[in-house]
Amino acid sequence: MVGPTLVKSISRKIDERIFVNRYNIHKESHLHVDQSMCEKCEHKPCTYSCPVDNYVWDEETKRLTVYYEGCVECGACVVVCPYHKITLEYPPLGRGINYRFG
Amino acid sequence: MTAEKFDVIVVGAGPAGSAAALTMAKEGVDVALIERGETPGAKNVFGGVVYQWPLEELVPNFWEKAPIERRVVDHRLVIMSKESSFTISYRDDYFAQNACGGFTALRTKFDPWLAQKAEEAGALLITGMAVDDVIIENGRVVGVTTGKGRENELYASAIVAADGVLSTVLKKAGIRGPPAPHEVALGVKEIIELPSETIEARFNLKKGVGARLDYLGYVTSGRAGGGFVYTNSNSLSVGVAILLSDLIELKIKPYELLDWFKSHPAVSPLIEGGKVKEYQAHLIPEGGIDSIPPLVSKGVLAVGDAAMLCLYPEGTNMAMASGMLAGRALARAKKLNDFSDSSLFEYQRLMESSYVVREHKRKKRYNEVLRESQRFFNEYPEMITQIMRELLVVDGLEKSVKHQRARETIRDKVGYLRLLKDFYSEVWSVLPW
Repeated sequence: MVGPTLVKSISRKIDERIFVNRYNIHKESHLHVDQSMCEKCEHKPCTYSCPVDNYVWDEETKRLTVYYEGCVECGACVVVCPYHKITLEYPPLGRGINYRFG
Repeated sequence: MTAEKFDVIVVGAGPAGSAAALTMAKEGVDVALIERGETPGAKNVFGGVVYQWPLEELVPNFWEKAPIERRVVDHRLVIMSKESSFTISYRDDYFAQNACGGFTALRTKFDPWLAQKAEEAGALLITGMAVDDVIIENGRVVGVTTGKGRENELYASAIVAADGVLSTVLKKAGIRGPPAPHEVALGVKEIIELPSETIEARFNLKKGVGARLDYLGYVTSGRAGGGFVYTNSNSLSVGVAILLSDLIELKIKPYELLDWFKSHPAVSPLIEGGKVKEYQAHLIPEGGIDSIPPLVSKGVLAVGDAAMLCLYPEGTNMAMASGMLAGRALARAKKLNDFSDSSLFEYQRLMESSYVVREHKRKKRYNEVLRESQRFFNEYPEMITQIMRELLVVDGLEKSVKHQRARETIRDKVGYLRLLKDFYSEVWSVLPW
């Protein structure tokens, strides 16, 4: 089992905020997005409702990048997706966010 | 390896699940309590206050040993407008006795403590195990799977879904899917560390006792939501919550709302110099009574957030109460050796006559008020602070003229009839009392 790791890269603005959190990152993403409707999706609420900015839309490639590593498993993305194309399957073995305070 | 069989499997070792497991284990029910986090609480977030009931029924004299941060003796309701605020405070040292005014807690301490109580009573606690599906036989849920292969199957006579607002068990059993955006709020919160002496000086407290500050009004850009500052031993829990349907319309990032709240003059001096130790987010059931799914269906009992039981600011106690009642119904089923839905329906009956469902019935317009009434989140706070500002500046203008102006402001902005109706009924849906 992989020991707890801290998110180290400060490449995005949100990383400064989630840097303090403790994660035990799983090798596979627990977030699954069927991107068939993303281009048609007018407001793309996943890109601004996520508290850790997991979803980033690239206008050039017309693809959604999902940064699952910093996910706090709140599920807002699942609820806001107007086409119900996002599923969250909780990571196994206690992986993912591991709150120290809660 | 043959599949394990229990009387009852409880999915989720949060307050609801542990309360259910504890109640059953005390009555000799063979119960497995499964938690997906490395430890109970590792995945959980709440505002920060736990109430006396029903914890005292679950763990008598809990105040002597529970992981209490501070006993709440000062309850402050802050009505906030864009720039100013109007605070009502009720302070009473009586509340320190037996923590009867509630206490602040951290989930990573409280949840393992309650789960341990269930373990001590005889429940089998398994952590680091996420349920990914249910096993259905003849239209009834008879077990859960925690991975591929028969060795990852667990069977039981009944299942308690205590797996939160996005319940996997209820979804896979076809009882309810994810909630709609207007049925849940997104809460974002920070743990801000400060020395305990600083907290005591800033909030006018003695050692061991605390204050809870609930902010209503213009907290989340005039939309349905609220904020809070709760005092822990040597940290503050600072957060905001907003209905997801409002967040979608506002097109604003949740942490921007939190930052705005933290910069408000009614908040910023309280948190100044503090160090952020954790950033958290969680969905909060806000749908009121209409969002509650069938409490008993296909051998599954829904409790806590999975059952969408929450009325601001009470969620943890609703969770523990529902878990306790589900536990009682299941202990009875075990004694009768009858786990059929009609026997398990005892849980529904117990709930109907309990504080939990009665409160949800009393606040039956809870969700509508949140969604429709901009008045509580924008107009009233603005009006109240505008009137107060004018009344408190002594500028030579007679008070009678100022009072007349205040009356006119009320008449023009809301109307007396509306005000009367709001005060008589609607406001009680959003107040914490």
